[in-house]
Amino acid sequence: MNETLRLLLKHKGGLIGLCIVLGSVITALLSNFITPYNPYDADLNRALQSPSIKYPLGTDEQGRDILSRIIYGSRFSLFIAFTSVAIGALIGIPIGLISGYYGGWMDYIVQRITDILLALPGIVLALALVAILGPGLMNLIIAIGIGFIPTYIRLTRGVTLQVKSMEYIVAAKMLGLSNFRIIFRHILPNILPPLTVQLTLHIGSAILGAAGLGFLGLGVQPPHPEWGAMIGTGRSYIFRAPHLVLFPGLALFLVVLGFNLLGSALQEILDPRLRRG
Amino acid sequence: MNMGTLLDIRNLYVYYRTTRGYIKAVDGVTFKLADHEIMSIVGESGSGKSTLAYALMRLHDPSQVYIRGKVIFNGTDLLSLNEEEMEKIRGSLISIVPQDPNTALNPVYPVGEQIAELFRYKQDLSPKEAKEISIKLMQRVGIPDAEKRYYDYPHQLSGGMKQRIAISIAIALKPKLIIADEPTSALDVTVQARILELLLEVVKEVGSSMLMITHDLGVAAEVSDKICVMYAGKVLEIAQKDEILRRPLHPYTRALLNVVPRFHKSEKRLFPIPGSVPNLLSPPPGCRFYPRCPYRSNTCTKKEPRLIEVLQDHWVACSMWSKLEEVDF
Amino acid sequence: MALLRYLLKRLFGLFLVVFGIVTILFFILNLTPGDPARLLAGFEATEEDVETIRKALGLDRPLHERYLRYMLNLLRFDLGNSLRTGTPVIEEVLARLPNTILLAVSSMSLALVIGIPLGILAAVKNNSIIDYLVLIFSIIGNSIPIFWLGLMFIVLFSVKLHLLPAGGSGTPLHLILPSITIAIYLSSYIVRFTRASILEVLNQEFVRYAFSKGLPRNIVLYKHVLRNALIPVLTISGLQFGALLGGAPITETVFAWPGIGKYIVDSIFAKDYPAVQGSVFIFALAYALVNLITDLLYVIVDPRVKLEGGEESE
Repeated sequence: MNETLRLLLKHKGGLIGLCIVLGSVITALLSNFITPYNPYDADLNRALQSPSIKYPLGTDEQGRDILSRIIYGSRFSLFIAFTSVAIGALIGIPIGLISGYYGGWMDYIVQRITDILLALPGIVLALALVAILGPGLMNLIIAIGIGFIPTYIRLTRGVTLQVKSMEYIVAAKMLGLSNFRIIFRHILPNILPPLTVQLTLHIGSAILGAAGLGFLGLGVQPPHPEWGAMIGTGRSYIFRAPHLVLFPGLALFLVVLGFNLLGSALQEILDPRLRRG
Repeated sequence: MNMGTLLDIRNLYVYYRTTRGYIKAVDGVTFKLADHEIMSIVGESGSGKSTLAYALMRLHDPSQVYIRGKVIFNGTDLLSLNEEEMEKIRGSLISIVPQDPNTALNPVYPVGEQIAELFRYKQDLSPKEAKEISIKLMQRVGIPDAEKRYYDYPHQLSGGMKQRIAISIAIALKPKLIIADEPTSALDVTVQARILELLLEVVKEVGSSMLMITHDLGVAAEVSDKICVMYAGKVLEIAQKDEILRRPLHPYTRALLNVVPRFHKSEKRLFPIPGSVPNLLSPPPGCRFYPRCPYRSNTCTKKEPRLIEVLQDHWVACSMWSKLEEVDF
Repeated sequence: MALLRYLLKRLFGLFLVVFGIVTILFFILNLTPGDPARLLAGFEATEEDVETIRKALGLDRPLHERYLRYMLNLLRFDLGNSLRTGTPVIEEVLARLPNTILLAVSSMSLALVIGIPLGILAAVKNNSIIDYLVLIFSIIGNSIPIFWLGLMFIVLFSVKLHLLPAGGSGTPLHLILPSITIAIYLSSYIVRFTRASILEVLNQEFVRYAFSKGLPRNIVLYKHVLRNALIPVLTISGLQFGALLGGAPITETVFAWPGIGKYIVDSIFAKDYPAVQGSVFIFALAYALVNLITDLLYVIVDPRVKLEGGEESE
């Protein structure tokens, strides 16, 4: 763990990614205090203003300060991302563990359910679920989260199967160690490396996914300043006032880049074959 | 018999670069190999024998190794050649029989094509001609039903069969030197003898010299004209086979001979050599075998013994060699 | 023969899975609170209107009966009629399918043409500046929101430069921007995957053996290394292609490309449930079929893989 952290700090891309991630998390947590203006405060008289000293990123179609909305919007993107990935992992990992460890008909059923969940790729599944459940924050999180479950089931199950057949596990079982203990002390630690990589990369995916649905108008609804939704509404004004679309997009890009850099660095560190230099 | 010197290795050093320093895998090796001669390099894991083999063919990644010395093959110093020139030599003048044929063959191509490609790319034969010759080669190494088997994939063949294919690849272009890197260690015991036999046969037929790398003195005894004993990157003893087996001068060689099971003697215990190979990052001063040597003395730790021709064509690197009692083997 | 049995087994599994997901969607749809008939009728509607709609949609029948009827219809590919236009959903979907396929094919081809050579380059020049740059390109490509990229492209190429149309379809020119947008995202995965695959293959023993044979460097690279390394890339690309058949709903919406993806999105907004269900069904089917084809291709391409076990000979 400490070794990983040390190597991460030495890794240029990873370091940048880590800074961005920490920066955005802090921004999200402190957003209530650092927004220069109220993100919801609308005044049509100052609508669609270009970036200026007063409004560094300009104002949107309802006269709201874009900078404030972007800062505040980080809460949505990060919250949705963390929660949906958490749902996917918290449901997927135990299922994968049990399925891989105990095998049998339980494993068979879990495999079939996973197949069903994988019948539709992430975004279409999310779309279908949102179509049924309706737009809104919680539904969005559920829709995206469900899409992540199969990945964690497979990952966990794969590692479990691999570790299960190793000699020291067989030895442990013969010694009479309880299954629970075996799972906890032996199998789980092996899951951590690929898991951390996957979690990090998924967060980037979730941010983009949520933004995509927001863009379509199916995610977080206005007047909330979710970055994707901001781009969606800003689209109508793209020719006159491109900054409505430009800045939220840059924010998305930057934050996702941070998570991807971090995830990529972790991947390199944890899999020596891909290591460079 | 008038035999020229085919391979003349002088003071060869092959070090691996690592973050912790240089691993001195081959640390000053000198020997000669004549035309049509078969020499075994015998040593345990970590003795540097495999490194030596691959260094001769310059198959290491240059950024990962440091090589110094002279490797004079057929009059040319191989270490002075560039990659293009080496490419011409590999396969056609020097070839290799790999240790594990299961991983050496490309899994997605038919075995026959892996022989044929030598003829197609190194001799410009047409696909048809290449295939014909390859089938003949396959028959020569004892693969039944060669015409059909040409199209088989490696996973469809047994280990022994795959090694036969590898042997046919090694002799295909009639090279002057064949390096056999522990060619039987990955095979079933039941098959080892036959493969060894085959290898010896075809090598003599083609007239190549052979460097046989092995950890098994028994194998060395069977095939070689000359035996070279390596340990921890150094050559400890070289002599003609009969000479070295009858009169081993180095304590390590003697220990090895004790370890070879002899079934025709009434009772023979195995005497494994206690201890393990020294750290190659920073080897101890003096003789490398010192810690495990039953005949050691103080002089052995001070100076590293040099390889000296103490008897006719019998070289040994040991300060104590003359003091060892004559043992009748 | 073995191939036929395998195919049948897979097709059966395929139908099971597709029906599985459609069933799940059906039940979620019908068990969530909210009355679809009322929603469709709108706020102004009277009770009578709602009842009429309910009868027309068959929503007054019991749940299991509706389910049975729904499933039976699915088997005949009768997906019901669109609530918006009244035309059979299957017709609407099939009319748009070719557009989606066209976009998918062109994006995928572009992504492969960009991604594979870059991946090879990065792997061969491992640890160099080029490798580093390619990795960075890949991470960036993976981080850009597609819809935003699409919009930026429209602003740049359509508005500022007047080079390409802003949306719609009809001419090859219309295909360029959407394809590039998708291709950039896709190729970021392909580059990484190709690079990783090649690096892994380069470490394998048969590569060193191929060099020891004195084969020309090009031959070793292209014949031995690539042939092995591209196998997993093929599988991944197959999966991605299948996913693309979902029409990349977001890209299609940005560029007003008349494909299935856009249809699903429009139907969702119009609360046209039969259309949504029907499109999802067709898409799941198509996706599963593409996966099946990819698996079969895998068997052809990698001789080690057999459909049911293998045989070894002495």
